[in-house]
Amino acid sequence: MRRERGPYRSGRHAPRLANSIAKLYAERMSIDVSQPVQPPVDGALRLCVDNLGVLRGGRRVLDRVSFSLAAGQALIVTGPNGAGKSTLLRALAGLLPRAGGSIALEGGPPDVELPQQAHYLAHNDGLKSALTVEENLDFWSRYLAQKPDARSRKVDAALAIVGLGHVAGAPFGVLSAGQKRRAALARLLVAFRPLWLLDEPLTALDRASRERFAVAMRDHRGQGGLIVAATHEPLGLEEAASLALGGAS
Amino acid sequence: MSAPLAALFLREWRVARRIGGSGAMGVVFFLTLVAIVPFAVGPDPNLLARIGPAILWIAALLATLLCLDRLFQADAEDGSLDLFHLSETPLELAVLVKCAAHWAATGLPLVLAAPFLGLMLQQESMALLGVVATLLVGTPALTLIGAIGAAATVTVRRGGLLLALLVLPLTIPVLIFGVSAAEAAGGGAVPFYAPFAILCAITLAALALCPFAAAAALRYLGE
Repeated sequence: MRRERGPYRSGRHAPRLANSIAKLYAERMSIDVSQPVQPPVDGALRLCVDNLGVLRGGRRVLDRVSFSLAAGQALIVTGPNGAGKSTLLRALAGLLPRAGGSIALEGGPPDVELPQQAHYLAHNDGLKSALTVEENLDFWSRYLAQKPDARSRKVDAALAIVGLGHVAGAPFGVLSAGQKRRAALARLLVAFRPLWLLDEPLTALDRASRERFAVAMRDHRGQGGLIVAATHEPLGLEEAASLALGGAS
Repeated sequence: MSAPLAALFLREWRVARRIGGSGAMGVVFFLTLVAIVPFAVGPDPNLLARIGPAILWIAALLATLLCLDRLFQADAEDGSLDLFHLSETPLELAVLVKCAAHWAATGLPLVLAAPFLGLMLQQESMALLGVVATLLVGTPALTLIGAIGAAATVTVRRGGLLLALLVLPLTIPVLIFGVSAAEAAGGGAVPFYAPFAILCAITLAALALCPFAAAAALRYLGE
């Protein structure tokens, strides 16, 4: 399912390639001094959060939260209810104002803001009951992925990944809670955005769907994506960093 | 229109046509209001001919307001509004396109129904034409001004009444010049074009200003 775009995409060759490019550069530099700086390579994104503070209702919900996440990495945010997990994700998505600190996604295209490179999945699915599953996803694929990207999947392919191909033409409103959740997860796939901000993504999902979503998340990380997920349950992410919030009450 | 905005228009249009048909509901409300007025003021043809344009305009105003309260609230409840903030498309443009789709689904049917209801109110052909022309130009302004109220009450449960209280005073200029242009078309001392031009100007000003005001309200309340 994972698409390779060239022989040097996989990690094994990357260091060797980087070395040879660097050597080539060093040789060129000695001759031609006015070489431009190498542009950031796609996939070298880095999410840096430094001393983030967020106020809600006059109360400091998040205070001095710092972490950084490189391309392909995942971060699990844990903590008791009210610890600020959702607040952190909303702040990362740019939906809440910061009360201090900084959030930056380094290495991306310079003219694109962080929220426009992020998918935000919260408790609400963001899909309309009156429209069919296919119409809903078709809308978000066109509204959220404005530049064509080879990593965006077609609507029917995304539905097949979450196992909803058979209800593509059904109104979203008649689906069960778990199927609605899977349709919302398919939204992450139809428009490629490197940063996934997931707030309790597994709500109402059965075990088979969890495994499918774990595979989708692994693919996303393989494509240079980043995942920040707030959850109480194991997500099936390998080598994920974790950030424990809490004690802020 | 670029692809994301066309997609948004199509989505809004489909939702408006499908959920209980808010467009059809507006027209039925419009019909009911116009139909009950003769019961209240009496069936005198001269009286109805004189106050007909005003009745049609007031009914159109109320029917527009009736349909507006869900304009942003439905998106806020299902989480779409958060996702609009994450798009590269500016929120102002999204508001404008939502208003356009809403007007096409609810305002335009009112304009199309107006001549038939005008016949019930003893309107002559020129007066009918005047009412249709002024409603065609004026109802977009009502939708756009109403969008500010809809955005400001997006987090209020059952905000419809509050929306009406906020928006009705702002629609007075539209009502004044809409009705006076419609009455002038049916004959009278006032020329048709002067109030009609001002009505056009109000709509253009609403087109330029209201999306920014509504988007600002949505941004502030979204936090």
